[in-house]
Amino acid sequence: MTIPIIEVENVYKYYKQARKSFSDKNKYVKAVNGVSFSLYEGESFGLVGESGSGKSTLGQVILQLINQTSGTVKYRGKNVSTYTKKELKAWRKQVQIVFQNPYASLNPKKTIGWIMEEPLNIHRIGNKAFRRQRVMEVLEEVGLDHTFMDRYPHELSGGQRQRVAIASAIILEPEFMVIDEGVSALDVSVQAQILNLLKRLQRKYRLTYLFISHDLNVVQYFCDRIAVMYLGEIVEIGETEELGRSLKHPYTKALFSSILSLDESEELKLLDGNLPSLLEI
Amino acid sequence: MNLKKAKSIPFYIGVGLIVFLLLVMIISIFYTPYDPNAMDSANRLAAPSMEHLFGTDNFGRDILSRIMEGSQTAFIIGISSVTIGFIFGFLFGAIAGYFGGWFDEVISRFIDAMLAFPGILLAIMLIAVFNTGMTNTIIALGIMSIPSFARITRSSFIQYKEYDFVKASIAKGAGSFRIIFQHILPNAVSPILVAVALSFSGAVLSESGLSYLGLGVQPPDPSWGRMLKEAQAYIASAPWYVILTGLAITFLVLGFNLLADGLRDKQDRKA
Amino acid sequence: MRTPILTVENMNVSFELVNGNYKALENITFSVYPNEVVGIVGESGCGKSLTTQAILGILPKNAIVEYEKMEYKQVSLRELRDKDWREIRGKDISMIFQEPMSALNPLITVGKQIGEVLKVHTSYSKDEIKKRTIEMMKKVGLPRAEELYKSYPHQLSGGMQQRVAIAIALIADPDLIIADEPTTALDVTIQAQILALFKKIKNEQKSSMIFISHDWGVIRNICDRVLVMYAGHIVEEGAVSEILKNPKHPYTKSLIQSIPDHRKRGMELFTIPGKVPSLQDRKIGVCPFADRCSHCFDACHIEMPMTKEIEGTHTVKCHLYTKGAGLTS
Repeated sequence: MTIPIIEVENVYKYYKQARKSFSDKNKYVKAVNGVSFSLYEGESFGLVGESGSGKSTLGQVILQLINQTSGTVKYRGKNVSTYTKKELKAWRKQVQIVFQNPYASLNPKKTIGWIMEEPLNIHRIGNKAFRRQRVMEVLEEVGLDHTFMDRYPHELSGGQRQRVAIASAIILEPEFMVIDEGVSALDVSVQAQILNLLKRLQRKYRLTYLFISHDLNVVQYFCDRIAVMYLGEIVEIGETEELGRSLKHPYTKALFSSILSLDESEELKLLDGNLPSLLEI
Repeated sequence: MNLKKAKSIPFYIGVGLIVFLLLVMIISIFYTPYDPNAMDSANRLAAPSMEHLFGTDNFGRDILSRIMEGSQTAFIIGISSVTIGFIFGFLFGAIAGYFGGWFDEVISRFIDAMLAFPGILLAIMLIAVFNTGMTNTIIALGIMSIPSFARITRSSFIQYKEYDFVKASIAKGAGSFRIIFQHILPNAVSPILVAVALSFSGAVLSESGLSYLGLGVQPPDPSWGRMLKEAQAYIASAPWYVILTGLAITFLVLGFNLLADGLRDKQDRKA
Repeated sequence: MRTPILTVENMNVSFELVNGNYKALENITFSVYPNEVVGIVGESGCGKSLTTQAILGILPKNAIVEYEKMEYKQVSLRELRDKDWREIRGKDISMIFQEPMSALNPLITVGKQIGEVLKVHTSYSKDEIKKRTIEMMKKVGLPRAEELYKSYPHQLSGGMQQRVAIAIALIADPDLIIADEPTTALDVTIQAQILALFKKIKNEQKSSMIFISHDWGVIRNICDRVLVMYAGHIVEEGAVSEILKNPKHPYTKSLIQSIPDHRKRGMELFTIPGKVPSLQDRKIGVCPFADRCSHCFDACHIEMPMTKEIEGTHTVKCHLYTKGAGLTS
């Protein structure tokens, strides 16, 4: 736990807002506003925040799916912006992403077999027979069988699709994975299945997770460390156990007091006064 | 269920019309009742009869044979100009939509400029520069249909580029070529097909219009539009001439319009 | 307790599809008492929303509803004509949905939309309606009500839109409010505020509520009693605290156990194998949960269990309590 696998240093991502008239000055939406943190090998790092807090943007900046306005992202000590085209492609084998909506994350016109095989095709791994074999292995790994290979995404349930999305992410045996609200759209019992699966895969492949979610119950269950994002900034960061005990930032306090516990002793505390900035946006 | 079927009826009528006219076109290559250009001065403007099913024109030529022969021109012009429009429109639209930024800015302004002209005016202008004739008509109509293809392709690309499955594939290392041809294109096919059908009917109609003005296909190539122009002079004495020629154009245009509507309905239902 | 405000007895709903008839709801029986919040909890596809839609008569055309009794204040709901329904909907019974934006008309100012209910159901003057609308807007926590009165739905945030939807539902002072996942689309801090608002409404307006949610946390915080639904059946029913402490049905128990929270860190989460069967895959006349149940025995595959009273209002439909030894551990 000493070598960081990912280092985020002073990352900013501003979006230019459309001007309403010529006389308007350029306005910017500060989606990510100066964020720094490190991820260590084998940990599950939770990134929580509400819609519009910039957590998803940050996740995609780390994977260079969105280019940052300024700041650096380092992977094993190397600045990923300096990668050559070839290095970037090789790096993409090591890092993966799983999205929230299992209905949008699989190409509706392709079979599950095709989707699963795609990463192997991109990186020209093995021959046809090897690739098929590998697809079947990984499908089994996530609890699906080979009969799924000829099916299309619309024939699968939400949970099954999410399994396919995870399977196609682990087929290249990555080291680091961003789970962007990966279990939020699922029913509780299915969510539990997927969380268990992610934990098992983490142990097996020694994966590092960046787990983005708005659900504090899930994050507190799943993650070793948690960072709380609010309006583009990380306002609090710490070990899960510790963070729950001593909250410092007012927003984090508000957020944690909104957790709906099943515990009889924990009554929902009401916040007096709205969080104006979030309500007004 | 029944509603779905009822909605598909116009679509099948459209397909039926197109298939029928396509068959007529194929037959006309090998067989027409008479030589379409054979004049028979003794038999001018004859009413439809057993010998001449559609009657004869002002030179005594068999109208049925001429309509059959004219279908070849209609299809050649339709297919060729749509192909030109599709290839360039798709290319421009895909580049603008996929890469965005500076490319998009330039291509979009160019498309806007083209759309600012009424299509037929643009075609007339081009023909004025390049001269009349079959090839030039095809080029003019092809250029005329570029903007609509470019716009549809561009918007599909912009839409699908943001989809999670596209991002997931980029995250796996996929290059632009793979993203465009494996991920975006298969999903963008149906709106583009609608555009193809619409643009085909547009091309047939415009060709008729141009030929009617004497700017399109020149003799000896047969053309429905020019036949319509000739028939106009005899609208009182030989009304079947103008009606039958007009019907041929109407059926082909209607066929493709119904096909396009049907395709769009199917697409909407899926969404 | 007193006389119920809403009574549903043995309601069945089936759908006529191309390849046959499918039962979506079976033997739904429950009551809602004055000033009581009844939760309906379950996973998607279990029939939570369908239940309330059947009560309100807003099911799709191919649905067939059978029932022994379906009464709102002694009035049989299914026998009402359209005209009578219009009187009841909005005034006596009102509804709040998951997506506030889809429930609001984008072209009409929020003030007008809230006042519309009064215009339809009362003979108040224009000024009176506006006055009451602004009062209601303040009550549901919309800041600067006078100013917001003239704004359009898209100018508001999701939380504010839901407050507008709630104001519309409340302004005619209904006796029964049906809320279908009203906080699911909102951020957690906003959710907490909206739940607090519902509590306030319950205490101040003394209305009854049916509160649909898949989230046990929401259910625990707002409901007095809860119905647990699985595959079109109410499998367990009782006071929320009692059910959370002492769930009897294996489905309820597993569902609660599979909820992640910080106390379960490092542990494997409890899971239920398989998934909720789709309408076409359901078996009729046997326990709907039998195929996924780890406690199931012969009887479960033969007949549907009867309702068994556990204690007070706590009832369960499971063979373990009628024929078996109960659920151990």
